[in-house]
Amino acid sequence: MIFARLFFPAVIITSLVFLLTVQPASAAAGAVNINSFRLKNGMRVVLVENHRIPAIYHSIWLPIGSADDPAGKSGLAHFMEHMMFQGSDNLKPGEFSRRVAAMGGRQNASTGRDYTNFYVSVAKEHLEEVMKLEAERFTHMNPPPENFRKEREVIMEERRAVLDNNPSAQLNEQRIAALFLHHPYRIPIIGWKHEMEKLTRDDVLAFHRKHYHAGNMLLLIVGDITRDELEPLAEKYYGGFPVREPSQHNWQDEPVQRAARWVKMYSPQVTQATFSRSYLAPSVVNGKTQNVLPLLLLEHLLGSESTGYLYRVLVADRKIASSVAVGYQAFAYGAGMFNIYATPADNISPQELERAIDEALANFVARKPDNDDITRAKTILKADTIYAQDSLKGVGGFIGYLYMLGLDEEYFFNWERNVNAVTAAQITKAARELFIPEHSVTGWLLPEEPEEKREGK
Amino acid sequence: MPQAKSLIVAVCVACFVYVLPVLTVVHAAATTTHKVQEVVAEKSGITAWLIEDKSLPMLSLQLAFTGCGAISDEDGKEGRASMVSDLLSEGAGDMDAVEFRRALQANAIDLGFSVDEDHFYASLKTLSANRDKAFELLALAITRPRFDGDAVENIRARQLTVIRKLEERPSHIANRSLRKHLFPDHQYGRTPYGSENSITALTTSQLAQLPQKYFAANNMVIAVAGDITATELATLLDKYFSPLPEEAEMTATVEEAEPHWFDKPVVITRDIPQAVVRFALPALKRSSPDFYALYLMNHILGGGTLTSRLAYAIREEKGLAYYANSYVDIQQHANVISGRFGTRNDKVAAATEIMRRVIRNAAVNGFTQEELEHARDYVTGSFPLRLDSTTALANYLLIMQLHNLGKDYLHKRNEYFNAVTLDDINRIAKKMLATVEPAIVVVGAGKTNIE
Repeated sequence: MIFARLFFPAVIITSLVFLLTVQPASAAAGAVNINSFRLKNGMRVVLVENHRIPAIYHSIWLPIGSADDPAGKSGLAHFMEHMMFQGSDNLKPGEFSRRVAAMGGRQNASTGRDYTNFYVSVAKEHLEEVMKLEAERFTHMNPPPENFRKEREVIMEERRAVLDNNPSAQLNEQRIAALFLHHPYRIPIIGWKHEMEKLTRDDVLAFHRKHYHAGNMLLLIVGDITRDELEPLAEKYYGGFPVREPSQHNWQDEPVQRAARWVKMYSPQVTQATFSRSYLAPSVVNGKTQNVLPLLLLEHLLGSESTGYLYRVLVADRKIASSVAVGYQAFAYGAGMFNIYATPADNISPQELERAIDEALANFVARKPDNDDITRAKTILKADTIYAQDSLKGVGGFIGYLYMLGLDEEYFFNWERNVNAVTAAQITKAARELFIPEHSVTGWLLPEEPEEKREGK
Repeated sequence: MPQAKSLIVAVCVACFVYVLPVLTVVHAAATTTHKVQEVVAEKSGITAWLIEDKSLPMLSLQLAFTGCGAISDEDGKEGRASMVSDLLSEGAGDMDAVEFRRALQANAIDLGFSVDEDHFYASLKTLSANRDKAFELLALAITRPRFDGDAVENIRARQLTVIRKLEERPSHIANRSLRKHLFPDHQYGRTPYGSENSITALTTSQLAQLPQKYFAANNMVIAVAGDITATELATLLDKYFSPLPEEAEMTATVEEAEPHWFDKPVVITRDIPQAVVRFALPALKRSSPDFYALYLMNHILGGGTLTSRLAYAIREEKGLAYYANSYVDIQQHANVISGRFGTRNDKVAAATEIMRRVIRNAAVNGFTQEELEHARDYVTGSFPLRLDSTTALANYLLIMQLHNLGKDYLHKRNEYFNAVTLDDINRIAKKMLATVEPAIVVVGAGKTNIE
């Protein structure tokens, strides 16, 4: 998943925003050196140099994820990711992890809706060993048959741990499925329980054959290495990866939403009601892409701690909510999502809060945003340029994901200029086009109440 | 490091874990060259540790007021430190909450406060260009917080929300119960967030008392990393932190805590599909010469994510869990080894028996040289990777001070780990793992058959 970076408690920025501050006068600080090229077999390589510490962040990305799970086999992309650690022709189950740990390496993998990613961070001197291991497990994946059944139990436990034990996560799963009625983003990344239980070894091997090849792979390296050093190593270990036709997303389009939707969950574990409102939104490659930057600014204008419009109206002025947060997921291959979260104040009914939210959104759209507010929001988006570089991985994760979406580092380099160019009118227009009542999904997580007391809708 | 509260969903509440600063000089290419300076601001006498790093035009400042965490909450007023940590950003000096936040946002300054049981923390991140303003706003928040009426009521409402949302989490229920049983007569047995009653009862003057009487120069620890020189830092400390009193008027009364070990697992019934198990074992103080042996021992036992004995036995071998691990929970007044795993309700007894067997086996038969080497390789080799960011550097510098590890710790730590022998970890295993049964709490549904 692309994770939220919590700036202030009231703004959950689910779009990771990285900016490059172009500072021609100071080349050393703030300059990001990105080099992209292809190996002879067509496999794409992107190198982001970072000489701060003598270490390398090595990652392999594939532009397929849960939205590419075959029908009836939800969770397969994620299960596949797990099985990559369960052995190959020359590696015993778990041996990859053990050998990486022995190098002092840190590693993990993640599955998103539209990408899968495997990474290892190591001291520079171990890079070749890492590549050797990666080449082995990518091309000769071969877990023992019994490990499929065992690891399937592990992903069932994972689902129980992160989802079934957690009412908020359960509501979230239902909410997403209601927002994407038809498009495969409706499928939970970990999979639906009844389908996960039936995933087989053959399913995994077929998925691997279809997608895990150089035609689909991106090698993204961040760290203390130059292209001259990297290229021969990459050729040596990955130049022999099999190449097949690049995978296509065969995704159903989402039909136009004609009716507002509600998802309500009552749970005995819950004592505090919480509210969410979601809208499908443009993403950087889907729908009205020109609205993306205005909406990223809108995220701040509405949701910034203490200063955001929703905060001021609902929390400070009217005391209808005790907290508000806004999150916009702009980076996706399919549609994006714009989410508003709120916790109703004590003794405020769901209807009251919903009415207040709707009024506030309508009022915001009806008036011109304050220029100081816009300037502040732009300042924050631009400062991220620097902050995002502050780690070994730095902006590598963002660049990798841009490639997954069919974009490249140019999007990153043009960011600051494009943010500066956004006008108040564009923000209002984007908001007006977003906050259409028939296009909404409202979610409620509620305490259980006796039948007679339940408030109908 | 201390956990900042998320207002909508509390995350990982009871993880009072200090990331252990680890350094390696074993691998030549992975040597750190970071130089730690002790900066003394002349006028105010305030000191800070600094690592200058001009890689990026930014800096990170991590600060702690020692002894001002949840242990400073009085009986019946639990949650005060936690509430204050949210209130310090809600207006300071002449600026109310909106104006204060505007000032932070207009300069892209990240300022946050948090607490754990022991200490009260401030975390500051700023671009170099705005560092004067950043220091000004931080100092204002800690020396002249406003505690305006509507801010207090809003934060009170949010604190209650956090408490209620935490109750949805079986992991929180399990952790809290374990802490309460281990430390029945000590502040460590309480939850830092407080209760509905205590939060509702706290008055503005009780809240304001924390920064007024407990914050001073003599219990303030500062760590800075990034684009700033010693002179620049000293100047800013003098310029903005001078208003702090030299000595704290009040300090928390807290004793060393001896865990109360118990044999019989505590079982809490909850209608959830996966039972959550938390367990604890004895550990050593951070200052113990055997601490490094303990840390390596724990790494072999349950620290390595997929490579530890616990993870192997419970997850890798049997597929009984997604997570199964342990860590050394380092605090100022008591340390324990904390472990956890989650498994479906009908497998709890089996998984727990495996956990007991792994621990017993380690106590009786010890570990192998290969395991020790492997753990050492990871613990020493991975450290440079952790020092990859300005914020990470500042965090480590803070921890080094809080635990009196010395300015040269970044260069010494590796030696400490390299000096640990197999005899050491086997001796520690007997001492920690064989004297008591693991203290266990289970939160789950139906008959777990673990009683």
